[in-house]
Amino acid sequence: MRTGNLVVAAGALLVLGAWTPAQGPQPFRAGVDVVPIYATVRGSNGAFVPDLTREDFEIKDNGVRRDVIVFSREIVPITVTVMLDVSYSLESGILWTRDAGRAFVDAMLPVDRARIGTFGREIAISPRLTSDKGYLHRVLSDEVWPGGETPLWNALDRAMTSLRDQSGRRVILTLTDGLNSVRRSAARLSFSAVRERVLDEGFMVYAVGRHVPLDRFASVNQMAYNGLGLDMRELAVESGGGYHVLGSAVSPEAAMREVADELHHQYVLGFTPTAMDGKVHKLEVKMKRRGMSVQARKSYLAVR
Amino acid sequence: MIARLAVLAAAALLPLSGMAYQVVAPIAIYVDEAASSLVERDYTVTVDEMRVPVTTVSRGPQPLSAIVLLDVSDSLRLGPLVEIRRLSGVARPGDTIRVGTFADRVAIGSTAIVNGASAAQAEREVRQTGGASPLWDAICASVDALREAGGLRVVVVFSDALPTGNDRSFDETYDMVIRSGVMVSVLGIGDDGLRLDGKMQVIGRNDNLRRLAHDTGGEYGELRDPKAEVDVPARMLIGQINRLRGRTRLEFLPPVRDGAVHRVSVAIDGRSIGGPLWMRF
Repeated sequence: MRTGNLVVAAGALLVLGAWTPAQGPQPFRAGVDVVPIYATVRGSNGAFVPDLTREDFEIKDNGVRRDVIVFSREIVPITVTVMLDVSYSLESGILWTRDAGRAFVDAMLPVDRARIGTFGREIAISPRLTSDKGYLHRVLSDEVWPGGETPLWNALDRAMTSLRDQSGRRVILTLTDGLNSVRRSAARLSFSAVRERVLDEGFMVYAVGRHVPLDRFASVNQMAYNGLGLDMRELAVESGGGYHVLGSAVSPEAAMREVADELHHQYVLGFTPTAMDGKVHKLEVKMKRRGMSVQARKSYLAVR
Repeated sequence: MIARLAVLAAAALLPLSGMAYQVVAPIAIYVDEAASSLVERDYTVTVDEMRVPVTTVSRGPQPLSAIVLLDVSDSLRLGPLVEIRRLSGVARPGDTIRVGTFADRVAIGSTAIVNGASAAQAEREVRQTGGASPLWDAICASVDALREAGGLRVVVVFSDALPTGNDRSFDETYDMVIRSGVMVSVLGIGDDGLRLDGKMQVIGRNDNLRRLAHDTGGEYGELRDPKAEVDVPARMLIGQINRLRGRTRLEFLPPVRDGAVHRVSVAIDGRSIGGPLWMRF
């Protein structure tokens, strides 16, 4: 799909600093097309760097340097669909998943909104995008059932659809212990189709994986990317999100809090594109200061 | 087993303080004791442990207003599934029996099944292929659809009881059902009856549906054979509906009408014939 949600009006981003939940994200056209970027900056010690200015960033669109015309370091409310892999056959896996989901909900701020989804035998997403932690905890307690395959790409596609009417930063966070695995579904989606949608529509993807015991029949791919497939890792990075792979003895709470914390510490940057040519543009965001690393999406679709 | 509450046209006067009276309509419940020799005085109905008079006994068949609510979610994609066309002979004169399905959406059909053609039409109205399991939302929608119906109002649920994608919780659903007076009757799937492509035995999976059926006076049954022929679940549902239709309707005068939920029991000669169930009046 190439619906091009990535380019928004300048006015939409310029009001981010004064955004309130009651107002909601209300994009409007101000005559100037702006490409939004949500960027995470860390120092050499891995900690977030909170006090940067627009002059600290450098943006290149297809190799051409662009001015940062929109800048904000205010907290951007999280709009997220959390997709939990429930294809485990072991009870411990389900408990791990529930605990991880709860940790993320607990880390949400009052302005954040989430849906909870699961994938395994079914792909299901709670119908309400909400800040109500009681509601989200209820879903985690009552509607997480183990079993089935791992329709990872279909699940991500459904998660994107669940947020398609939202504007601004839209996040998909998935917890999974493995690779995409769907044997019977005739409607299974490919990684490339999901990747295209993620990048074209500007979703930000985070993944938290977990090492699982492998038997001697495990494939080379399974052994190399135990906990999170290579495709999933690449997609997360490419979208401007990120991933964590946890050992089986590691509590997931810290990883989930880390994701929420990261989303609460992202800078909002915006620039005018070199051309609205309907093509995918390569995007580079760099820090001018040394000792810092920046994480942001690697491309955007220049569609009006 | 005893069943549901209904407000009748005929009213009685319930004395309040002083000279004041409250107009009280009798309440109806449905029991599966159908001995023809029994009359009003043979039944003992108690409301919150207080005996109340039975005013009318009406033997079956009772006119049914039913929604047969079928789980067609992906968790049942390996079966068993109920083919709606197999329900074509379920209705009797006076019945209004419709079907609903739930998966990625909740669909409640408008066509009453009276024959094969109407069953085919009903099937077209609610057809969908797989998805989540918004069981509680579907029961609430079914109860809403029966709100103005007459006769014995019942939602007959067929599900593997793995709810997902619900907006409403079970507790909200339970409260709504009890307040509505609609009976919930259940054909569940026992652990042995699940056709699984991976291990999944969840302790207490059917508990909430069992509780709904029990507390509203409905039946609770389980399909236990994973290799059952395709017509088996439909036949079990029809059997359940036929037994509900054959129940005896008792009307009694409630001691209060305070809008609260009350515990109601029915006995014959000191022998409980079901319940207690919970009614709001």
